[in-house]
Amino acid sequence: MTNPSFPQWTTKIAKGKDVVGEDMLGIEGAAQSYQQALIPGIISTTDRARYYSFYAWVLYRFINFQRGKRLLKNFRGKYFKRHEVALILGAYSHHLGEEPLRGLIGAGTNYNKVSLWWDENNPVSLDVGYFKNKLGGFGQYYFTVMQALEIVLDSEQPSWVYRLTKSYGEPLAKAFERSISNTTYFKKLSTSDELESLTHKDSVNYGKAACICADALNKGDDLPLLRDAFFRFDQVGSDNPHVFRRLSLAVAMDLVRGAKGKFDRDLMLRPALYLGEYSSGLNYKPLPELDDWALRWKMVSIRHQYTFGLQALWGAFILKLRDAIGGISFAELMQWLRSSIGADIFDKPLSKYLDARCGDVSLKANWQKSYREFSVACRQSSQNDEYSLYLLARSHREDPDVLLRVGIQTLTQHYLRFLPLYQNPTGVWMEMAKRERLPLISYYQFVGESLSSDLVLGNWLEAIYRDFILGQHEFIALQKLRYQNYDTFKFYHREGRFYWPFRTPKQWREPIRLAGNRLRNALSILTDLGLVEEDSLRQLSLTKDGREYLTRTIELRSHDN
Amino acid sequence: MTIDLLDCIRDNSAARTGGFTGAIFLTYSLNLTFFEQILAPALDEAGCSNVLILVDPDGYQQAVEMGINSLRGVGVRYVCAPVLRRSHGIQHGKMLFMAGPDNGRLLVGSGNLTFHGYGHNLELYSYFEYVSSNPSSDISPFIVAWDLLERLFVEGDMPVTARQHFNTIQEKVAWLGNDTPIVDANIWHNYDRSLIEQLKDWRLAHGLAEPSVGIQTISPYYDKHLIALKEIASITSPSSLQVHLDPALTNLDGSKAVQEWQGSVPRLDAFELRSREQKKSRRHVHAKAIVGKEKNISWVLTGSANLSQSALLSSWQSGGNLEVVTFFWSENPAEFDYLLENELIDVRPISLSNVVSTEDEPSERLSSIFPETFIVELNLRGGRIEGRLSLPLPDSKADSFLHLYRNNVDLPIHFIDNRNFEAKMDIVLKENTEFAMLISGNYLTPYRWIDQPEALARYGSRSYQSQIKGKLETLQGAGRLFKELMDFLLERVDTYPEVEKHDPSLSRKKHHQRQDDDSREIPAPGTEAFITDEGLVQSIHWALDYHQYPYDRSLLSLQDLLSLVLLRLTSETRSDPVDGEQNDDEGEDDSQGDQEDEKVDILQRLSDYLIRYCNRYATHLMDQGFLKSTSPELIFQNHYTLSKVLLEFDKKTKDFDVFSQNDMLRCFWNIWAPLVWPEIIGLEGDSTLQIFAKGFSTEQIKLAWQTAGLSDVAMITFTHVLGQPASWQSGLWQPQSVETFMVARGLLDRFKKKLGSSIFVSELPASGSLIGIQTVNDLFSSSSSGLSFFEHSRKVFQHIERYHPPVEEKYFSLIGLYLLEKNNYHDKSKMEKLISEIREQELTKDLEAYQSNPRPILATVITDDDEIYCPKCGAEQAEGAGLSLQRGNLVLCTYAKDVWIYLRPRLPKRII
Repeated sequence: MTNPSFPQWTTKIAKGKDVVGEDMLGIEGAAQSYQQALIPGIISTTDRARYYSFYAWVLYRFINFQRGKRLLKNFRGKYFKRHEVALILGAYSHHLGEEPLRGLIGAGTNYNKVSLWWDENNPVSLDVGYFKNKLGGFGQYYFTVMQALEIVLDSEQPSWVYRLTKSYGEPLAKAFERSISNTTYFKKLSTSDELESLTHKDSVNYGKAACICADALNKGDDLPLLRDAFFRFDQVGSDNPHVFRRLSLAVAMDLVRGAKGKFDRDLMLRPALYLGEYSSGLNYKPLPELDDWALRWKMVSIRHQYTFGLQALWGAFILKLRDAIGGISFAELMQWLRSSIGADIFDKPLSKYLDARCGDVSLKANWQKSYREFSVACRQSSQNDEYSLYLLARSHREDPDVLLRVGIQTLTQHYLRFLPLYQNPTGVWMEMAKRERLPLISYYQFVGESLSSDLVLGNWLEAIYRDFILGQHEFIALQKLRYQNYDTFKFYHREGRFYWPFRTPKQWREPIRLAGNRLRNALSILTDLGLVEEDSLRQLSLTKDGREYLTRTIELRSHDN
Repeated sequence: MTIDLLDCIRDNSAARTGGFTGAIFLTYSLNLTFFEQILAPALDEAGCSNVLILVDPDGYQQAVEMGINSLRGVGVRYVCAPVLRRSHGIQHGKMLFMAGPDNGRLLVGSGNLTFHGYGHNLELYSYFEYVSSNPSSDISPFIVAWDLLERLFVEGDMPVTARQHFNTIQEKVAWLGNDTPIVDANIWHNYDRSLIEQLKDWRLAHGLAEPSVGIQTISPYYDKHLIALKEIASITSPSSLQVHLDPALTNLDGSKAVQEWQGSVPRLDAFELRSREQKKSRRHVHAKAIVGKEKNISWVLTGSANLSQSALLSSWQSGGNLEVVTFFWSENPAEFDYLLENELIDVRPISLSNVVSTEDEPSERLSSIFPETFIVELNLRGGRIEGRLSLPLPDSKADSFLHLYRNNVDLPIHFIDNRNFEAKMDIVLKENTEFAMLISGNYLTPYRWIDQPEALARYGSRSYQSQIKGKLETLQGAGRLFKELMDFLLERVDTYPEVEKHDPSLSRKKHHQRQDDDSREIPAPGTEAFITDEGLVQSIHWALDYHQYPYDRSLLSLQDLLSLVLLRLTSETRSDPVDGEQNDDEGEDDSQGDQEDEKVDILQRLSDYLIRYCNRYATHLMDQGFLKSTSPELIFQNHYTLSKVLLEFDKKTKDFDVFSQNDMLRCFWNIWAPLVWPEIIGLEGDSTLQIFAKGFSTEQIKLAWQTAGLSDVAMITFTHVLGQPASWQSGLWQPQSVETFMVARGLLDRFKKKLGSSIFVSELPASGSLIGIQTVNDLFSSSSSGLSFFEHSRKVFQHIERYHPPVEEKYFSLIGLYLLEKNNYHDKSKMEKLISEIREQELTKDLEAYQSNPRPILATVITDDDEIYCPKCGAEQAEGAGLSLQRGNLVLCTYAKDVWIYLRPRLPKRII
């Protein structure tokens, strides 16, 4: 046997597979957790209302399924998955020939999984592999949000299955069951507890009643209950998560209302919140009763735009690193920054740079005198506002020079735009601004200190790269290594130089995007609930019921206040 | 074979007695963020409270630059000090020395103290272990390594804090004072003699005057003129010379190298080394080695030394680098072939001229980041900062101040002499760790962190409990901790009279006496219990947030800790997905699936471990020597804990299919049978209680039993494992189950015989601590469902205590009737009641048969050769009657017809 002391090759300490991942600076969590508080029960991966009743029904069936003994181990796996696969098939068949249904969990990207099952077999087995999680989309996404909506409860004992509430869980399950009670699938299910396969014909028949789309839900018995579960008009109080959700849904409806039938969720949601205008010249002014809640959602956008500014700079660095054979030192990085933005700008005091930003939008080129007007002056018509800069970066995601310029301009204009809020902080501002990591207030403090010490832009940028970006990525990657055993490092820092860590240049680049806004999911759910409708141009408007729900929320708000 | 450096640093004995106490790193480049995030928790696991990092000034400054905003422990939890250069040579050695009172661990290799050096690159490392109690342990590598460290302190300019830390580590390690002469140590360094000279001497000493068969080298870096390589060729005269390198990490310029080698012999052959792993990220080969093949011998030199002049041809004293290497030799010429025949690497011949340099050799690119005047030391103590400069300031000292980076304040300083200064610290630091630079006119020193000796001393003496934090953070760590704690339980022999008074687990037990357990054995209730109008439970995210830091709890007794570990390993984790514009179901599902797989893998290994553990435990319980060294109190406490662990493991892993019912049953018999009935599990010798009876009175044993709460644990364990006995109708067809319950009852009867018939009578619900921590929510609240569970357990347990085989259960009333008649006890109402019971059980035909021929009812058993004899007349029963008896019927003796016979199942000789 070889002497154990003899030299050996070392293994990697990250035992998990290499993970590409997103949020490499770990800075998106602040807005994410804030949104979780603002709209409990809706997260970025739950955008279909029907799942809230469908999963309740699957659980309800299991609780009443004698052979399952109400043990969690019997619920997980085959039992659960057969029900979910049946829904996938039903929903798929309900929209055959149309563009893929949004949010259909387990169907695969562009239906790549479900279309294969469908095309190759009739009947289709319900035991196909579609998700590693033994509780499918319920375990992966919907369980916690259904808890928040008081539909399901955690199990009392670890081995027992989850519980349904009497108030919403059981009624929703029963209502869903009534909605599908005439389907051949349900009838067969009633006689045999579990089905192992489903014919195309039965799928089509089931899909009409059970599909997660708004059309099917609008014909379902579960619709009124679902509306109640989301809005909870029975709840009042200033610290009540159901009230928070109701008010956030109201903000979403108010955004639709304010656009007067022209609301385009892809193009208008973010600028309406961040800049207060849907598009150039079309302003968003929240209903007075919703002012504070609209501001909270504005804060989400403020944080997102700040996050994006840093990510744009990080993205520029990554693109440079990718092409730097032999790596790049920090000094070389600074040299590139200098040459990219120009020595005159790089060496200019930060304050002068801010002056120029004010000048660009026809304000007096003196930031200290102009910053209070900056927010109004710098809007989409100028093409210099941060949202327009984001769109520019998105269309130049492979261009490090553009990303660098956008990053610098976004971060500095962000400061000019919201400095008044920072200087006169309200409770709502502080709710978001002090959230870790890299809190907004720390950034504003840092810029303030940079200005008061008359730092040049280059030095300011150097500190941003060192402390807010490179050090931050390393810290986050180490955290992921420590707790999850994943290697997410996007650079290799050796003896003062940064190196590209991957085998090929195309292995990774920073996705140029804004972090998810959950009002977008809320709009999707409101559409499913029949409170918002979409026209052929994909523009949203409130339905009659939607207007009533908004009015009722506002009235309750006034009353509650 | 490969080596995982992180695993090497962790130590399995740390949870017991402290394991190691100190660690010293030597490195060239340094990433302290990596150290704090990844290595410090591993060192915590190993018990290393005093950590010292000695680093080249380049590495020191890089660590400051990269970590100035993120570091949290430097100067307060560990000490990091630069090894000042003597000339142009750099401190290039890479070593980790871990020391404890009784053992040492040494890692020497090529990887720096960075993520890539310790955890990503392909590096070569050698690993040494020393245990002072093991006479065959080789102490020589440790003595050589320690000698090197001592010389750095004695002859170098080290900060006082680093010296103090070094001394603290040394004080706890008496075995380092061993003055055994060192011969042929496997560690070499070049503090005062170059490595090449040492190699020459070694060859000479081993009579290797003939040319070598071949030399193979691995190195990323070379000196410009290949002088080191030429020197190696010169002293070994090899027939072949191979260089192995990673083309993506080398300073070798192939075309220049070809020119440099012109005229030299032998031919220089180049090979590329690459990682075979098909991962997205690239693993660079940063290892360094020289492998020599002589006629009848082979040797290898590996470690920090590149193939450069400054590494191999010079000593630290003479201006070269400081290098640390290991040197091994073998009489097998192929001994070290494994290094280039490893599954991790791919070796292919390449043309030397095609190699393109990617970077400089470290010695060539050393940055002059340390000006002549810098802060050598900076200590905060007693409200003052004391500092020392390397040289007097070049200009006037007037208006000098210390700038504190994180607090952004300037402190005026007062110079005591040309180099020593002090400042009054009149602010409270915002964070523990702080960096400072000295500013004097236009002169700025580089930043240096402030060492805080008082904080370092506090951290160095922190409690054992804080050391296990790291273990609970990861699934792997939790798995290891579980094993360590269980091993500790098995080896625990000392009695601690104060345990009851101070052990938080006992106070918790009392505090929670009214709380109780759920049980898997309690079937889930009816559907109505699953549809509830209770209020919203705490969100799972909130629970998970807490779950990540379970060690914040103050109670960390052994039992609680085991509970937490199991909780850590079995809790379902749901991570909140990233808020992207587009959802990636499958990506998130995959990563969660991987974690699930890892969890199952660890739990499976723990399950195997637990089964083996219970086997060993059974033999321990009958080990006279072991039992004499301990006491009933301790053994019963351990028994309680082990039973609890088994219960919890079984319950918490139900969802993972890693611990079957049979596994649980086997463990159950192994821990309970040896106490009173070892032969039933095939063990020979006295039972535990018999052995204890030789040294303790029955009252003492009984008291220890009751104090430990073993009656409660027996009741819950028997109930959980065995469940309720089947009715006689079903039981007749479950012979294995019948055997099990007969043995269980036999076991309980033996306990009662030894400890009194009322030993299992309990008025109070079983102790709440038996439950363990079932869910994350239990960390904050207590379960209230205990009473009903206790009642349920007690009822089931009573069934087991009074268990009768099915046929006796079947004829219980009929036998009662017979006994009444036999004893002439003609109580009409009793007889009517019995008759009514018999009819209710649909045994009217048997009743009528008996009444028509009222003979004694006796039990018989089946013999080893499958025959059935009448218990009265001894006659063999006819075949038909035998079959009927085996079906659980009552049969009249086929020979004398004067007795009713039923077949009583025999006790098995062994239950497992």
